[in-house]
Amino acid sequence: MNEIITIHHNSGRKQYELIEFISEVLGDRLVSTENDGGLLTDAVDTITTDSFTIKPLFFPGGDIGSLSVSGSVNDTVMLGAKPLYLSLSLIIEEGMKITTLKKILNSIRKELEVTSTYVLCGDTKVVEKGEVDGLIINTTSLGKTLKTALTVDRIKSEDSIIVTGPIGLHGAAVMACRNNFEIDFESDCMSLMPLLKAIEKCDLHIMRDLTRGGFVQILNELAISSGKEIVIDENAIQIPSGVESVSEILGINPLYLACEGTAVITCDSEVESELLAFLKNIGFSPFKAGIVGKNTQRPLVSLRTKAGAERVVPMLIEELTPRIC
Amino acid sequence: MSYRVMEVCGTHTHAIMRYGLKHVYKEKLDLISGPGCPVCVTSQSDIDRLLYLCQQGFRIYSFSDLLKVPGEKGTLRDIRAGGGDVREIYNPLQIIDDIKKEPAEYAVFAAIGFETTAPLVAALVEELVSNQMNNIYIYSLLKLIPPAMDILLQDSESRIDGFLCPGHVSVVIGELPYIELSKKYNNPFVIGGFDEMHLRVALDKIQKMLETREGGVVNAYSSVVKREGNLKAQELIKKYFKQSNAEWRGLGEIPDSGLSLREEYSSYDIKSHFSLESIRSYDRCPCGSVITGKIQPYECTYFGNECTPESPVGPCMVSSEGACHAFYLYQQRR
Amino acid sequence: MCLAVPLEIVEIKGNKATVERSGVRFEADIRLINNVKVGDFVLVHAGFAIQKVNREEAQKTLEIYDQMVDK
Repeated sequence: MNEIITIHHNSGRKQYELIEFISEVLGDRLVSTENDGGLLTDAVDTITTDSFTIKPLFFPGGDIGSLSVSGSVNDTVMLGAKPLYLSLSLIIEEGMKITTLKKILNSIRKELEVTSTYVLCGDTKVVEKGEVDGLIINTTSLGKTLKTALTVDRIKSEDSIIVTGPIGLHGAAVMACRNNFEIDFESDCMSLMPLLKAIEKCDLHIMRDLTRGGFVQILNELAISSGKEIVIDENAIQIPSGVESVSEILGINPLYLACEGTAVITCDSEVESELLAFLKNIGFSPFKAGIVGKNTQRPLVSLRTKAGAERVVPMLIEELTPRIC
Repeated sequence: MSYRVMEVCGTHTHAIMRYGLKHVYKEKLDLISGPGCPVCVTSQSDIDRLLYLCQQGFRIYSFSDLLKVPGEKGTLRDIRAGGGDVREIYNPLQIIDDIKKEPAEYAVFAAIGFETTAPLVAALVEELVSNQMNNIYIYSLLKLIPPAMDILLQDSESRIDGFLCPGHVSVVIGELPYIELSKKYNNPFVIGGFDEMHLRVALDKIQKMLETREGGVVNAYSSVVKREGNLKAQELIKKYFKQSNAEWRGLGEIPDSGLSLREEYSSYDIKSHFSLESIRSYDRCPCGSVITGKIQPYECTYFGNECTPESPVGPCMVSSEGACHAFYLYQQRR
Repeated sequence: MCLAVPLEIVEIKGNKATVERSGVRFEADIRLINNVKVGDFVLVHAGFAIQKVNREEAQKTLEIYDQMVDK
C-alpha cells in the first residue's frame, strides 16, 4: 500500500487494496468482505448509531478508533442490551498517512476484542483535502436486551441518581491536548460492558452515558424526557483535581465536560446501597449525585451549592468555549 | 435597608453566582453586576466593523467569548459558518505561531480586555515588532475600568453605594487609581479575590464600611495585589499604548477610558489603515441600562420574550455571566 | 478580563516558565514579573504570569476569614 491515502483509493484496484488493508488489520473481528453486507446469526432487538469527529484524533487515554467502538457499544449497553455487531463507516480526508490509519484500525480491533463484538459491514470513502477534518467514523451497533429495555418512562420520582465514576476526564484531556498542557490523567474513554452485569443483578431504572455536554446535559435531557425535576448536590459531585485544574485555567465549567466511559444510573432509593456496592465490586468508583424530584411543568436541573443556595444548571446553549473573563 | 454594591468583573459575577452570595448577603447588600465583562461592553458597531474586515478578506483572531456577540448583521461565529476565516485563541502569542503554520495575507486581532489583558496585547505587539511581522494588525478594544467607575458614580440613576473592585485588574493597576476615585467620592472601594473566602472577606468589609459610613480603599486581595500594582506590566502597556476615548456599550463614549496604539506603532493599528467610523449601528436593546444598574433584567421589554439564552438580543444574555442570563436562570427556579 | 489561576513554577527557561497545578503543566510567559524562582507561585492569565503570589498575605486573609466564620 502507498504511504498516503489519496482520492484514487475510492475505486478500482486501489479501493480493493484499501479494503484488503483494513480487513487485514481488523483480522477476525471483521466477519467478511466477500458480500455487500453482513448476515445476522443471532437475534437482535436494539440498534444505535453514532458518528465520531473528535479533534485531535489521538488523545491521552484513547483515539478516534477506540472511541468509535466504545461510544456505540455504550449506547447499546445504556438501553440494557448486550452489543453484538457493529457497522463501520470511514470518511477519510485525502492525505492521511497509512501509518495513522493503521494505528486507528488497530485501536478499533482491540476495542472489538475487549467488547467481544464484530464488524459485520462497512464502508470507506476518501474525500478531497479540506472536505473533512482528518477523519469521520460512523458506527452502528446492534444488540439484544437482557431483560426489558431501559426506557426513560422507567424513571420514578425520588429515584437516586448514581454516577459510575468521576466526571469530566475526557473533555478535560482533549482540551488540555489542544492547548499543549501536559497532564497526569487520561480520558475515561472505555466500554461500559461491565454494567451489563449490574443490569442483570440489580433493579435499575435507566442508564445514560455522559457524552457531549457532560453531566449537566444528560441530566437536563432526563428531566425533560421524564417531565420531572432533578436536584443534585454540589458537595457530592466527584471531579478529579486535574480536571478542576484544566477547567479553572481555561475558564470552563467542568459539569459540562464530556465523559466517554461514565454513566448515570437511576434506581429506587432502597436499592441504592446495593447498587453502589455492586458497582464498586466490578471496578467502578461510583457516587450518589442527587435525586429525581416531582413531576413539573418546567423540568429543570437544580444544583444545591456548597453555600446552601440552589441554582439552575441549564443545558449548554452552545459548544463549550474557554472563558477568558 | 440594603446597600447597592456593584462589581465590575465578569469573574466576580460568575463567582458570586457560583457561591450563591446574593442569597447570603440579601438582607444587607444588593449585589449588582456592572460593566465588568469586556464582551458585554463591546459596542455593536465594533462587532460590525470586525465583520466587515472579515468580509474584506482579513483573518480574524479573537478570544472565544467575543464570537457569540451579535452585531447588526450577525456574529463572528455566523460569519465563520459562512466561510469567514475566524480563529479562536487563548493566549495572544498563539497568533504568531498560528500564522506561521497557516499563513494569511492579512490578519486582525480583536483585542478585547481590560487592564489584566492589556499587558498581554502589549507583549504581542512587542513580538510583532521584534520579529518584523507586518501582516498582523491590532483592533484595540482594550478598556480601562476606573474611568467607567467614575462615570457610574456620577450617574445618580445607578445609585451605587460601594464597589467590589476587580481582583485581577487590580493586580496590574494596584490601589492608586481607586485612591484617586476615593478622593472624589466618599464610597468604599474594596479589592476582592475570587474564591469564596476572599469574596466573603471583601463583601463583609464593604458591608461594615457602609454601615459605619466609612469611605476609602481597602485591599482584601493582598496575596496578589500590591499597592503599586505590577509596574513592569504597566510600563509595557505604556510603551505601546496611550489612553484614548473609547465607546462602551451602554455607557457611550467615555474619555480616556480605552487604549490605542502609540503613533510610532500606528502601522500595527488597523484603524490607521482603514476608516471604519462610517460603520455604525445602534443597540437594539437596553443592555446598557442593565449593566449600569439602572434597570433590572426583567424590566427590559425583550427579556424572556424575544431575548432568551437560546436567542439572545444583546450581550447581557449572550454571556453566561451577563446579568440578564444569570437572572433568567434564577427566575426559572421560582 | 479577570480569569487567572495560581500555579507553581517548576522550571524556568529565559522568558518562559513551566507552571504546574494538580498534575497539569504548561508553559507560561514570565516577562511581566521579576525575580521568580522555582517553587514560587504565580498568578497566570491567558498564558502569562501577571504576579507572584504572596503566601504570607494569603495566610492573613485566611485568618480574617476564620475569625469571620467563627462569629
